[in-house]
Amino acid sequence: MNCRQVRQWLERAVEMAAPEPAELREHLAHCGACAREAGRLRAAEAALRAVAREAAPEDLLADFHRRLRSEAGRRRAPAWGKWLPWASAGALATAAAAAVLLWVGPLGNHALQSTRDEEAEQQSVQQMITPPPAGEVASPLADAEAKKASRNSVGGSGRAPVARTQKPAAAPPAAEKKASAAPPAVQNNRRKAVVEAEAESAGPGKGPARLRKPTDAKIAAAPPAKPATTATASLNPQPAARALGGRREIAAAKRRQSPAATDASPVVLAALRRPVTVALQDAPLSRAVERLSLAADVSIRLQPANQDGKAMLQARQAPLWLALEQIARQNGLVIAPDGNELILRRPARRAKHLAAAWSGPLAPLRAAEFAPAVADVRLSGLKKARPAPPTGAPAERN
Amino acid sequence: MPASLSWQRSAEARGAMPDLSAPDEQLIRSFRAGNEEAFDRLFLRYQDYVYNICLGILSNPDDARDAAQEAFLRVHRNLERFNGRSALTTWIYRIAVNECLGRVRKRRPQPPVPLEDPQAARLRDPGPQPGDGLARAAQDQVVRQIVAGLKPDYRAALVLRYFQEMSYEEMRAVLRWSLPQVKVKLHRARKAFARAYAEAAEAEQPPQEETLR
Repeated sequence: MNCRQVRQWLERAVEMAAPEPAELREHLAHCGACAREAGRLRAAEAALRAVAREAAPEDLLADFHRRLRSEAGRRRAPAWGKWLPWASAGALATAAAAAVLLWVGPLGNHALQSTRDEEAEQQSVQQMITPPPAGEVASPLADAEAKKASRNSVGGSGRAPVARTQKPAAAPPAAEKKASAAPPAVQNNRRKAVVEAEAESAGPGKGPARLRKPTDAKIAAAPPAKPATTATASLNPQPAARALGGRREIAAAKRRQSPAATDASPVVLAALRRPVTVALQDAPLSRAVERLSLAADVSIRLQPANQDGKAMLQARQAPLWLALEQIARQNGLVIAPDGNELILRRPARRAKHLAAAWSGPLAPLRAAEFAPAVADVRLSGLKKARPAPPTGAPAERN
Repeated sequence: MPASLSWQRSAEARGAMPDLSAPDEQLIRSFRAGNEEAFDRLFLRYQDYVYNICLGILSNPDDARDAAQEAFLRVHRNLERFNGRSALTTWIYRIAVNECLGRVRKRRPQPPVPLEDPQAARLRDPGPQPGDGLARAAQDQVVRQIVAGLKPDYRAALVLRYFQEMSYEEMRAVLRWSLPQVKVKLHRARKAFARAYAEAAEAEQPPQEETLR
């Protein structure tokens, strides 16, 4: 064994504490340099192995909680800082539009108009302080309600921007301050109307993209981390809008928007907005349900009578509700919550079982119906907003 | 879904806290259902490991404390998106290592701290010394200081291999290196450490021991 072979053996085997062959021992006995090298490596190895594990400081958890709270505060602060300029811009734009209207409008309307504009401005500032999510998948119900709000608004086309603010502005100030306590449908109405007014008054070039304040339903529809715009084109919510487009159904959905009427548990609501990535081509429905269940970590059952269905789905980081709605629509099924589970089942026949179907514990659940409830959960701070993954944290690649 | 699992999830949704020995998956589910106490249990379960990783790489207790908290903040922020493809421990350790390496790379490289501690004379005898806790702690401090003087990747390799006693496979998962990369970097790290350790030991030797062999 020469010195080179001895060094290689030492570097390779010292960590394993392998027994030294006789020829190595013989070489070390005669070669001082190799003996020193062997001693050096063994000493370093022993020193590294002897390092004791230290206990974490006792108050580490308490400190962590303090940082968690302060971080939550910091997260809110930039939101103000970031959106306040836009809120001011929106308010200024509205004020400018109001000034023009005051100038050209009938004199008798001046006082009333300015009061309403001020209220609208205040409301717009109030609404703009919350940063919008990145997603842009609109809730069918929100759209329907927005249309209804615009139908209810007063004024012709030339005065539309301000006239649309009349409805929300006419609400009592006290009710505005308690916006979080108002029913989500009312909030959606108000926000949509104000946002439309701001967007139009700011001009077509810069208004909608910047000043648009999403409704609660949009917040719910967009997964906080990855925007729902990453969903493929096959997950188009428009058919659902058509399905819910009837006045009677919208009215029924609005009646059910109180938290008591939405029978889904927080677990189900959280799971429904969880992003899923599933690609299925003409797969058995049971397999599709199983894949979605695993992807969203929630139990989804399929009624035994519907096992023969097929599903075609291309979802990439789309919220579970959108994916579920897609396969439910393909098979003529509805989504219903059952405790902490979801069920895909056939809809009740309207003529006979309508009342039971829409009010019982297995009431069908659609995006437009649970979206406000999901948004409530998120807006009330019960669920944390998900920031972009930190650069160092491999959150999505584990 | 099995009936027991279904019941378990229902209980978690009602706010019931899983018991202390609950597996990580159960605590994660409970946390996702809104139970912050479940995260505290995960924190207490892994704080020693995370703190030791941070202390090993950064070598400064204050920095290690700060980095460990930052790592747990990241875990807290991202736990809802943890998809379970790797073990939770792997994921947490990876976050901690990334946090520490990020800090190391941001600050200027520091030269190895000179060994001025009189206890450093014991470097030549690094074996266990029962009953001599102070010497043991001093010895550990010396080793940590030498490790802190190495390149960031070498620090991470040594810390995970020796301080955390991870296998090559675990190191590969945490560091996201290939297996040959793990072996090569560990080998180089070990050589660099041995060189620095020997130099430190020789610097502390009295002149008459120079020829001792």
